[in-house]
Amino acid sequence: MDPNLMQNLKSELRRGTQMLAVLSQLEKMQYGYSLLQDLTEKNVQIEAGTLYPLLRRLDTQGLLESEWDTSESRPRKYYRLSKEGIQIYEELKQEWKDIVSEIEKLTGGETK
Amino acid sequence: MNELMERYIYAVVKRLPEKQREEVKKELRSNIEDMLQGSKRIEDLEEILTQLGEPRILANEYRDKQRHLIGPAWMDDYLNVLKIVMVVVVSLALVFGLFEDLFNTDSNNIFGFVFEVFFKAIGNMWDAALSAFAVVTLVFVGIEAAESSPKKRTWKLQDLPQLPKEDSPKIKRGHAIAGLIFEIIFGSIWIFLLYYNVSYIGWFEEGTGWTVTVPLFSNAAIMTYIPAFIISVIIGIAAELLKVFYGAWNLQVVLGHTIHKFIAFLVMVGFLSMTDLINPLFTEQVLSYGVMDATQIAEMYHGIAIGIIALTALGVVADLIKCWILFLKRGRQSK
Repeated sequence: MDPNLMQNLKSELRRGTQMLAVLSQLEKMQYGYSLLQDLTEKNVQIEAGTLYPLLRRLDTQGLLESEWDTSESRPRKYYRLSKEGIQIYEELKQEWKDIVSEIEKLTGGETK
Repeated sequence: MNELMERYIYAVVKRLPEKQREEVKKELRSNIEDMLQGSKRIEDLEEILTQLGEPRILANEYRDKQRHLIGPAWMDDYLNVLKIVMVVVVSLALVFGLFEDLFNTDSNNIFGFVFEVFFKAIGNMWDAALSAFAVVTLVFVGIEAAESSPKKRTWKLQDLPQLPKEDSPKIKRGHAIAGLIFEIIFGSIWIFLLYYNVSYIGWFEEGTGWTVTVPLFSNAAIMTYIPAFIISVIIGIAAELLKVFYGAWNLQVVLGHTIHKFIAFLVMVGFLSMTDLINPLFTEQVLSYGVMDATQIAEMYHGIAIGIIALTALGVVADLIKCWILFLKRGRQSK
């Protein structure tokens, strides 16, 4: 088995779920690095080089709202779910559950 | 240390649209400083930057949408069209370039002449290839841009191509392309020769090099007939293109081939049977040698014309019978 192939397949499978992971942690205000640490602590694999651009994209798409905090020594950009983002997150969460149960059935995780 | 960080950030944002740059620059700076956690060690910064990865790739992640001139969906069509257009254009350039160069050389010895023509021909083909490449690419970039615009075209089931008839005898792609090149090259040589017949076809005499003193054909007659040959060659090229396109002797290809042969034959018969085709001065020139008299000369012309027509007719008929039998036989077997 080509280890590169395995790696590619795995990251392809994970790609869509990263967004869900990010959204799940943004019910409270977070800045980029705190979110990265947060996710790493919870054993979610995401690269800094993937996370930061992803935050920006979700921000432009209106799922997140962001603001610069300039009160501290250096400015930090904080993100959290927007109203629309909360709604979308709920729907995606449901979608995720559906996917898991569908795949579970297929792969024999549950016998019903 | 700060300089290294700024260089990294610059390498990322310079690849982004102007209006995003300031914001991404601020974000990156803030993120990197957060990751440093107050460390002043250059090694830590190096590790962080390595972790963030190649600036080109990071910049690509930041971009809103993927950018490309010709996407994977059009790539195959693009390459196929490019190949055929290249073949046609480069062979045309070779023929016309060679003609132009052969008679417009500055060298006065044979080696200089050969080198000059050789390199000029290569130059012509290169220029033609570049222009063809540019034009085809631009057209496909246009298609891609139109396709990815908001009101995206939806494909229809009617647009699906017909299945190639499995039973139609195949035409090898190489053969078809060779046929196309052959048609282009010899078609254009023939038209060129006729157009400049005054200098190339006729009674040669040695003056400063061999030159035509009395042309064989009446130039006025030829000029009125050239459009017919041009049409015939264009139809020929179209017929060859059909072969390249379908790659098999299907109905379209067989019909195209038949029409081409038929028209080419008619055009040639019409050409040879023109009463004013032969230059009267040429006949006089032959007469002046006293070997033949006027009736013999007229009979000889007539004989040659009939001979050419008969031979060509035979060839055309044999060719058409062969390709129709090939086509019809295969059709019957499948039923």
